[in-house]
Amino acid sequence: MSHHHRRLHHDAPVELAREILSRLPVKALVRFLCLSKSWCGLIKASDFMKMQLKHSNRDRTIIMIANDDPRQHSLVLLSHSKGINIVGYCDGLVCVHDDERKEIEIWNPLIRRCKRLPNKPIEKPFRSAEYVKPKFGFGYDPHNEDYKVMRPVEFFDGIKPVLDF
Amino acid sequence: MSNTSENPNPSSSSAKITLKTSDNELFEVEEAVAMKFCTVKQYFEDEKDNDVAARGSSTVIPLPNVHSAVLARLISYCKKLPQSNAVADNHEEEETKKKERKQYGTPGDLVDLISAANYLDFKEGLEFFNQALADHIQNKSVEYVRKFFGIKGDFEPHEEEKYREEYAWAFEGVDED
Repeated sequence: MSHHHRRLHHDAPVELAREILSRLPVKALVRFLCLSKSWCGLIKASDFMKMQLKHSNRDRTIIMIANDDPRQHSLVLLSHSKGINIVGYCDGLVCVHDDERKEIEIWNPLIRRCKRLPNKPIEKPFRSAEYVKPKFGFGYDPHNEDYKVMRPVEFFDGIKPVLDF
Repeated sequence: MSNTSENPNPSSSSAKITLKTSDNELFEVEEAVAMKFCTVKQYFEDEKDNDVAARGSSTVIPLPNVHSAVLARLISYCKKLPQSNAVADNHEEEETKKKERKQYGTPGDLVDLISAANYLDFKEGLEFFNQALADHIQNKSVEYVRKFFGIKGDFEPHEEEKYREEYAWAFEGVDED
């Protein structure tokens, strides 16, 4: 068994290579996005992300540590102003709410990217309705296979419509 | 060489199955081990249906895609099969598992093991060796991985340059090829 330079592409279908790459940490995957156009598409595909998520929890552990450690906390989350609250976290994503700017952001610390959600005004059931300060929730919606931010709003007259972004 | 598996307990009556590799070596392995290879299991059960295996352990199962050196390593892996391939709960456990995976040699060796495990439809082994190979390439350069998987880079040089600048942090701490 002394044949050198054995490489996988001699006998491996793409599926095997995909299986192997899905076991890589996020940092390596960000690097390998520039392997080629087709591999970039493959790595960004939602089913690949699901595979990767299933195989890794080291990455998620880091998120937990960041949230437990106040210094890390301030480093990653509270850089631009106070009044930013963590709405929740799920699969390594952190959802934050900027109380001052009334903005919701979903932050992926592993790829260092942030997505700002459009600010939707609260629709009142009738013009004179009053409401208490809305609360937020963040989680994964398996039905739509996407992450979701909930904003339940309680109006004074007792109606509780649930608006989601 | 006939690779009769070393059984510490010769009086054990567990059934044996003979596997024949691409280089015509014969391996006599315990049925429990051989049945982990779904390809072998399928073959064995088909033979049973044909009433051939019923005559005893005379059946030889040919494995034309597996070399004896690779099969020997797969069988030894089976015998000390890690409890599970489940993702480690903590850092310490992960390091232990990593060390264990490192024992299975160079990327070239792993490619042989992965190809064989894939052919034999040996799920646990495939997962284990895939992870071992992933461990190996996780700190490698884009060029190394392109070469390894036979991928041709097709981004425009300026596109790639821009990407590498934007995500410079992901290109830090990469091993030498």
